[in-house]
Amino acid sequence: MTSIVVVDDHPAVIAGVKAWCQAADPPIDVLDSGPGVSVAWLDPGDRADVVVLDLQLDITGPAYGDLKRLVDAGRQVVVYTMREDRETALTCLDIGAFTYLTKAEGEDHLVAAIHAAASNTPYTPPALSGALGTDTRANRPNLTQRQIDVLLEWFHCESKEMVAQKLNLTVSTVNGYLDRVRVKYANVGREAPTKAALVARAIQDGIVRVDEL
Amino acid sequence: MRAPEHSDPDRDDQPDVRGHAEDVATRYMRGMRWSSAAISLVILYGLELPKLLANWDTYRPVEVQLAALVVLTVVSAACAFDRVVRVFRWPLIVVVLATSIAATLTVAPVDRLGTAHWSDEIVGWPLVLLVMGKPVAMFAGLLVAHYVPAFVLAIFNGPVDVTFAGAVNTTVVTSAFQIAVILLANALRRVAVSVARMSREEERARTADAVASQLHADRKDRYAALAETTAPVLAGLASGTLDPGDGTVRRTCAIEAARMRRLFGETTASPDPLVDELMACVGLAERNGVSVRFSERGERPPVPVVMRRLLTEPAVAVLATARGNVRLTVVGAGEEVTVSVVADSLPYDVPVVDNDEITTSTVTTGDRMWVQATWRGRG
Repeated sequence: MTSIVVVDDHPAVIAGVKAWCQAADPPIDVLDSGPGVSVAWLDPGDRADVVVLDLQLDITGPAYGDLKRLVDAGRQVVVYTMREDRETALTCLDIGAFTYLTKAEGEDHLVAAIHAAASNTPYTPPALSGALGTDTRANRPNLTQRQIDVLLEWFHCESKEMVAQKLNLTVSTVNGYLDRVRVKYANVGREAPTKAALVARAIQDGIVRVDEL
Repeated sequence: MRAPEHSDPDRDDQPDVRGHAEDVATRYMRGMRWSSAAISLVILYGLELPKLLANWDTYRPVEVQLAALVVLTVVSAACAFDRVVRVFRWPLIVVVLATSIAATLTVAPVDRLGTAHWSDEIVGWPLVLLVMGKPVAMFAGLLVAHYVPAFVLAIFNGPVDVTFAGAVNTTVVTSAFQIAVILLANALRRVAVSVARMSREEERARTADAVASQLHADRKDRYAALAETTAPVLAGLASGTLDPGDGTVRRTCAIEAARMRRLFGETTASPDPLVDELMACVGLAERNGVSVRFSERGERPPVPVVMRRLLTEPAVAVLATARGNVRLTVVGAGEEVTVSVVADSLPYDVPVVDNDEITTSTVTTGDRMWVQATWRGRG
């Protein structure tokens, strides 16, 4: 069974995440939870497969340092935050977060993101998709126009059926585009064990070929 | 501090960003340039002209020597002006080196590297003026190009009157002084560029500070407005006068939550009429009991007023009559701006805008409807 540890300073958020995990299929085991990142390092939280991390734990700004330390220790981190802006999402991805979820998306995507993180398969929720689709930084990976279209349409409508219908694709093709983009991002920038695992799994699953990277 | 090797003033990709630093650097270096030009002219007429006159009869022919004197005078004087160097750097370098060789060839073989070979000492100075601000290696290369022919001729077309050690001695002393000038100029230039960069940084920080305090004031206003609608709901829930089991109460909570979320998410630093207009409609929809989730991404080019109205029209129409949950998004990508809204299907048609600049698309699946309008800038 997939296990997680939840780092969030709002008890209501922790309670909500626990409820979703209990109702998930297959269920997710919440090993520990708390307002500080220490729960992810101490027993029993250190054994969790996935860390669900709130980025805004205090007034000092986003907890990029905590995120980096977790990633460097090989932990799969799902960033789960109230911050909506593109730069935060891209920075988290650069550091090596597995995926980036805004709290508004939690109900629809958190459980699926946790399952994906546990199995190293790419997961791109709409808010992150919008950030990737409008990324203009010099070090961004090369994306095709079609990939950018899929990213932005997915951000707009949050429904893969609608994206597929609009762009005359199948839902699985839409997923394919999103996964390849995620793998491309995992393959640029800072080295992190979790990024390597994502790329390796993507190659095994045939999402990308080695010569495409 | 970035070395100036990386920024070539002749090829400015971003004139307004790098141009400012270049202007400051040019101003800093003006004194350096004028004094180097003065040194060049003083040596030319104070030291070299007497040598030329004293050895008048030994040159074959002397006219070439006179021409060399004129060329070096003109180049030294013209290179006191930064603009001349920027435009004619490479042609002038070629001219100076050609002059050097011509002057060397018309000195009597026995006089090479000696007193009569006056051009040997002076050519370095016009070169200093021409490569000031460039890597010192470039200057060294040009000096080599200038000295090698004279030494080669002295060795193979000799014998010459001066000793080899004496010639090397003169060359090294002169060159060392010239290289020192170049190094000093480059250091000065680096300082100037970093000064310019720092002053720009400071200016940016001041602006950001002013924007931040304005934002803070705006945000406080918005929080105050929120208190009027959110606080009563929270108070009602706490005191038990509002029942969370009641559908209406739950909808009110959802709407307040959506408003708060939008408030937290707002990061737009500059007033944006497009988003402001949409927000007015979101407020209206929320009063009708619709919860709206708004997100924006990317940098948007400004949309002309008429096109802006048309671009938001489908979204506004949906917002005005929607029920349930609505997702509203705005994306800027390159020269495009897209306004998109997803809501429960409406029993009637949404206005469709289609003209040269705006296209609208509608997708319906099940009971949800997605209307998207995209403006393509003329650029």
